[in-house]
Amino acid sequence: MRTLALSLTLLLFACGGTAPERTAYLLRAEQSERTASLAGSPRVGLSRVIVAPYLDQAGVVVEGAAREVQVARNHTWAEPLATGVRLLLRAELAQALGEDVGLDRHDQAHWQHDVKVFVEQLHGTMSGRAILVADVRIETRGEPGGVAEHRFVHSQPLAREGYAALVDAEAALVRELAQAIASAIANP
Amino acid sequence: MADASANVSERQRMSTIWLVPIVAVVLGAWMVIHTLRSQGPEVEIVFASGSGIEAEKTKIKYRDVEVGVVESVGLDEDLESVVVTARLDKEATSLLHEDTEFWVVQPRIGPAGISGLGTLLSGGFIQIAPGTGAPGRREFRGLDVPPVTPAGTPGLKLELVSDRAGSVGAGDPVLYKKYRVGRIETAEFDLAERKMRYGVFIEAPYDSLVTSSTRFWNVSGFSLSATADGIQMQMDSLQSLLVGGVVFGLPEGGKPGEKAEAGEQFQLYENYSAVNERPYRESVEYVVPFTQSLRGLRPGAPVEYRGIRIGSVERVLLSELNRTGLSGKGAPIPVLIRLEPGRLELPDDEQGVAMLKAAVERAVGNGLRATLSTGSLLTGSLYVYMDVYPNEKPARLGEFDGRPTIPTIESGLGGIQVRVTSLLDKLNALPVEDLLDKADQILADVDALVASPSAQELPASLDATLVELRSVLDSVSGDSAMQGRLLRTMTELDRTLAALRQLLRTLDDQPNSVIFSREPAADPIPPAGTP
Repeated sequence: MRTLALSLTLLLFACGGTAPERTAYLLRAEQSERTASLAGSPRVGLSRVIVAPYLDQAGVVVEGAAREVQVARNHTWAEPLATGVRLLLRAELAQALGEDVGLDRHDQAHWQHDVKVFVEQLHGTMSGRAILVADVRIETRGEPGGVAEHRFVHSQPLAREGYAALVDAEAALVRELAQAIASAIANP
Repeated sequence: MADASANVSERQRMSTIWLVPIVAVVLGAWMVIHTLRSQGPEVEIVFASGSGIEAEKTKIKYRDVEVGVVESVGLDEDLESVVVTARLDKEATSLLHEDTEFWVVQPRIGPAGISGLGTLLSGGFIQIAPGTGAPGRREFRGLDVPPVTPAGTPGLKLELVSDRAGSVGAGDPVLYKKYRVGRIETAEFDLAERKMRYGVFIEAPYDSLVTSSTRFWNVSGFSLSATADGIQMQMDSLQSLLVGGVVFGLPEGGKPGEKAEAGEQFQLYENYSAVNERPYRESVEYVVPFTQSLRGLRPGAPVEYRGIRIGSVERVLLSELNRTGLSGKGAPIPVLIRLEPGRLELPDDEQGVAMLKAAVERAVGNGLRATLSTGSLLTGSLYVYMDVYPNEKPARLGEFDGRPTIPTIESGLGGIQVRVTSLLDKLNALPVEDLLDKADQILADVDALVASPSAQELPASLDATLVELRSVLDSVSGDSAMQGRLLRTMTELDRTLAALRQLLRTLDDQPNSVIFSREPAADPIPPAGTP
C-alpha cells in the first residue's frame, strides 16, 4: 500500500510543471485590402511556390553556428509555409505591379507571365538576420525564348530579438522578392 | 813563203749586263702570274639603272664585308640596260652560284619597313646574296629591288593562285595563328590563265605546318559580320590591318595531311568562310542530265548521297548544250556537279579521286541514280540527291562534252512511279483472298455481337458511367475541396509522423521519460541584428 502511494506521488510530480507557451505566426500582407480592391483580369499568375524540404514543417527555422539548423517547437507557422509565402508573394506582387495577380491554375492559359518560385532558404540566424534565397522562373507567353530565370539572395537584420521580429523580417524579404519579380516582368 | 799562222782568239762571252733585263723579265713575269693568281673573278652584272653605282668606288658587300669593287659602268648595246663589271676578291669566288643575286642597296620604304638608311652617309653599294645552285656563273641580272627572301634562306616556297588580286601584295606577311611565319615574295597576274599568282615563302621551321590539307585565305585586317548571334568583328595582326596579308590553317574539322613540297600550288581563298564552303582541294566533275524543271537549282547547291553531302552543283552547261547542237530538241539539260572525295573521308589527293571515280562507276552499274529534290518548301530551292535504286536497269557512265555523266531519274512523277511500282509489287505478294475471307468471318461475328440485347444496352450504361466518372474527377481535381482536404490531411499526417518519430527516438534514448520527463529545451531566441 505504501509502495502504491509512493508511486502515485512520483507520477504526479513527474506530470507536473507548466506547459510552455506556444505561438503561431502567419505570413500576410500588411495592407491586403489594397490588393483586394484592385480590379482587372490577371495578366500575371503565380502558379507555383515550392519551399525546400527543411522548411516544410510547422516550426520556424533558425540557423545556429556551423550550419546547425534548429526547428522551434513553440514558435510555429499557422499554415504550411509554402501557402503563406505564396499568398504574401501574390499580394505584394499585385501591389508592386498595380494589377491583380492570379493564383487559380484554371486561368493559367490567360496569363501572359507565369511566375514559379522555389524557396531554397528562408530562416533566421543566431547572428540576428533573416535570409531568403529563391530561384524565380518567369515564363512569358508568345515570345521566342520567353523564359527568364533569376536568383534572389538577400538578408535583413532583425529589428529586435525574438521570433515575431524574425517573422517580420522574413515577410519583408518576401516583399523585396515580389518587387524584384515585378521589376523583372516590367523590364524583361 | 811566209809561215801561215792562225790567229786564235778566245770567243767573247755574253756580257753580264744582260742579266739585268733577264731578271727584270723574270720578275715581271712572276708578278704578272702572281697578280693573275691572286686576282678574284670578274663578274658582269646587268642592271636596269645605274643609280648609285660608280666605277672604282662602289663596293660589293656580303654581310657588310667588302668582297669586291665595281671596275666599270657602261651601257649595253641596245642602250636599255647598264652593264656593271666588278672584280671580286679571290676568297669571294665561292659566293658565285647559278642563283646568286645582286642588288643595289639604297634607302627604301616598303611594306616590309624602311631599309638602307645607312647608305645615306656611306653611299650605296651592291649587295651579293650567294645561292645554292651550281657554281661558276659570271654573268648576272641584277635585281631592281632587294629580294624579300634572300636566296639560301631555309624554308618553303609555295605558289598561291587567286581569281582576284584582293589586297595582297609582295612583302605582305603570311600569318599562322596571327604569328608571322613568312611573306609574299611576288605577285604577278597570269594573263593566260587570268589569275593572280603569288610567290610565298614560309620560313623554317614553320614550313612543317603547311600540309596538303592546309588552306590559305586573304585577310584585310579585320572582318565584320552580322549574324543571328549579333555583330562579330575579327581582327588579325596590326600589320595585316595596315597592309593586308595571308593566313593559313586548316578548314573546320580538317586534319593535317602530308607535308607540302616546294613549289606546290594552293588556292588563295577570299576569307575563312570561303575555305569552309569548299574545304577540299580535289574534286571530280560529273554531268547529270535532267529532263524536268531546274527552277530553284543554283550553283553551290549540295549534292547528297543518302543525306550525306558529297559535293556541290557547279553550273548548268547551257553553252555546252548549245555547242553540241542538242538545244531545242527537248534534250535533257546537263548540270555540272563536282564530287569531292574528302567529303567521303577518302584521301584528298589523286588517290582519293581515283577511288571515288571507281566507286561511282561501280555504283552506277548497281543502280546509282541522281534525282532533283526539294531542299526547302519555302524557297523552292533544289539539290541533287543520289541513291542506289536496285530495280533500275543496269547502266554505265555516259559522256557529255568530255565529262562523264551519271544517269538520272525523275524525282517528280518518275520518282513516284518507281515507288508506286514497288508498292504494287508488295501488294501483289500479299495473300489478299485469305485475308478477305478472314475479314468476312470477323465482320459476321461482330454483326452478331452488336445485334445481341446486352450490346444494345451498352451505350446507355456507358453514358451513365461517363457522367459518374466526370463527377468523380471534378471532385478530385486540383483545386477541388476534396483535394484541399486531402492535402491538409496529408500535411497533418506528415507532421504527426514526424512528432511520433521524435517521441520514439526520445523513448529509445530515455525509456523512463514517460514518467520522468525532462524539461524540453527552450527554443533558441534569435537576437536583434545590426543593419
